[in-house]
Amino acid sequence: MSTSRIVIASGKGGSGKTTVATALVMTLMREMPEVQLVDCDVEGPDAALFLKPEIESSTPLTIDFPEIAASQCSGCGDCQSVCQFGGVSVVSGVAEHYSDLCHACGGCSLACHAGAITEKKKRIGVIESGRRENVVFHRGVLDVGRHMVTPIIRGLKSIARGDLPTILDSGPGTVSPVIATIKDCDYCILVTEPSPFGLYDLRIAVRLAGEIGVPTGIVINKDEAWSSNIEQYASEMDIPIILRIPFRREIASLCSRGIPLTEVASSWDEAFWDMYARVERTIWESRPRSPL
Amino acid sequence: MGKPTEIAVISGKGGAGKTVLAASLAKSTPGSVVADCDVDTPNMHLLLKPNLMSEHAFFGEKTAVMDGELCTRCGDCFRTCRFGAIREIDIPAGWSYSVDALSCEGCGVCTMVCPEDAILMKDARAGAWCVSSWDLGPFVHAHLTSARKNTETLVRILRREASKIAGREGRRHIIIDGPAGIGATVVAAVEGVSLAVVVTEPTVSGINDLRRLIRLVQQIGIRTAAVINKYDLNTEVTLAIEEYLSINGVPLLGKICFSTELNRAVGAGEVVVNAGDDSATQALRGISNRILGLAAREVQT
Repeated sequence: MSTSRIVIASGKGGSGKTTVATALVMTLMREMPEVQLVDCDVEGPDAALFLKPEIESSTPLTIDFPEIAASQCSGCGDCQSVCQFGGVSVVSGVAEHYSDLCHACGGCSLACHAGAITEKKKRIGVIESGRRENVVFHRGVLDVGRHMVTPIIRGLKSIARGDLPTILDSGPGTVSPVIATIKDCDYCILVTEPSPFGLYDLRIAVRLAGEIGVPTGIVINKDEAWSSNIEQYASEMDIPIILRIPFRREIASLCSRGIPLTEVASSWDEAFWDMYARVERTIWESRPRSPL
Repeated sequence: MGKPTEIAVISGKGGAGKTVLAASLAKSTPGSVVADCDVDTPNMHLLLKPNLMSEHAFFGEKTAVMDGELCTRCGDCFRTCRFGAIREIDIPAGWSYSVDALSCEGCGVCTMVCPEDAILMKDARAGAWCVSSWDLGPFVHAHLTSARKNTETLVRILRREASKIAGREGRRHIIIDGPAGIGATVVAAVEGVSLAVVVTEPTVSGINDLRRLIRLVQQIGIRTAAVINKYDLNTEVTLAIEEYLSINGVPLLGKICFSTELNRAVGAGEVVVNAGDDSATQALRGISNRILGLAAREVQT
């Protein structure tokens, strides 16, 4: 059985990543003994609104943040010198920590020779797991006000099973959390809309996928008359367009209610299955992968 | 002269319509400084069609680089890196540790622990920030080439430049197109603004993300107002949003209907607010005026 990891990403937010990811999972759940969906959009995880899994576990994710004991601090400033993010500053002879800027790298506590900096685990979010029938589901949820996202994604990937065909729903854009999501996947489906915004952002996403070195295919969502711009770009870049979802108000309306695309019409099941078969063919024609 | 009025347009959910609203606001405030703080996927320039005046390299955080020949494979870097950026690679002499630049956070901890000085922190040009001008005033924006980490620093640079220009040229408004989500770049885009305008859409995802964003801005303590885009797509969720906003003391400044005409105009790269009689464009116009009125009152208090 396939154990491929297929990530759904996009440059443009709101293109339809979650729509495509959940529709794909719902198609696969009909055809396969077991399938896995990992919602890596930890700032705004929405996949469960469509899949409607039963959440069975919720585990807080904590990482080590520095804690400064002012009484031990000599004011030497070594911590400030090593910090690359402005997370520690010496103010009136005592080091102060700014959690908003801190990247929890451990550098300041390593640098401190006065023993003034220890580390304390603080919660940044939660990892939840659950199920719907034969779909294994995991998601990460960032605590509002926290900004360390990548550790949650890495935590998600470490608990995801490696023996199941896996769909990963990425966050939008191409910044660090998205890189962490796409890394070590076997295929990246890029969902785009045909607007000039969509094309501009697609170029950025394609470049990133190229840097990571993962094969890609394009899904045009909200497809209409001006999609020729995407077609032209895809042709220039030799990237296949693997699915087209038309711009239909009815589709938008059903999505707004959390109804997966494949519940709209059975023809969508076929279309997603064909897309999946094409993706799998490409994966098996590509190079071997590294561990999750 | 007092501080200029800064208005940031944000949304939890991507694709809700931030850039279209921000561009409409910009068009309604001739002479304002416009800042596209969605530095990951900037789109404002597609509507404003600016002329570039100056470009400045942005280096962001450094990236660690390993010299494989000096590496003795002690594993100290591998054990201390908290970002999974150290991995094994094959080299002619066998194998070595190496830094995965895409995962490197730029913290430098590996250089602190390496006993062989085999790792150096190198500057990596991550992109550029730009000062441009468009029909109605100055426009600051940026683009990234790679090393897409810690982009909140770039957002702060753009905010600083926008403020400098406003101060130097006596401009009264700064309009900020913000990024989606609730992360560090959003915080950098809204800190210290007179008003944050949240654009939302009436979908189950939209209201989910809206609640998280409102909690964030209220945690930071920023005055907030909201706009519902494509409201007639789902009147049930629109009602739920209106209720939520009311309970949480966030004024609703207007609702824009789902409009193929507006979509077409944006697709053609037009900033529509001044022309056009369709209801979506009229709604945008009214909303822009209300935003400016509310922000002005906020600055006075």
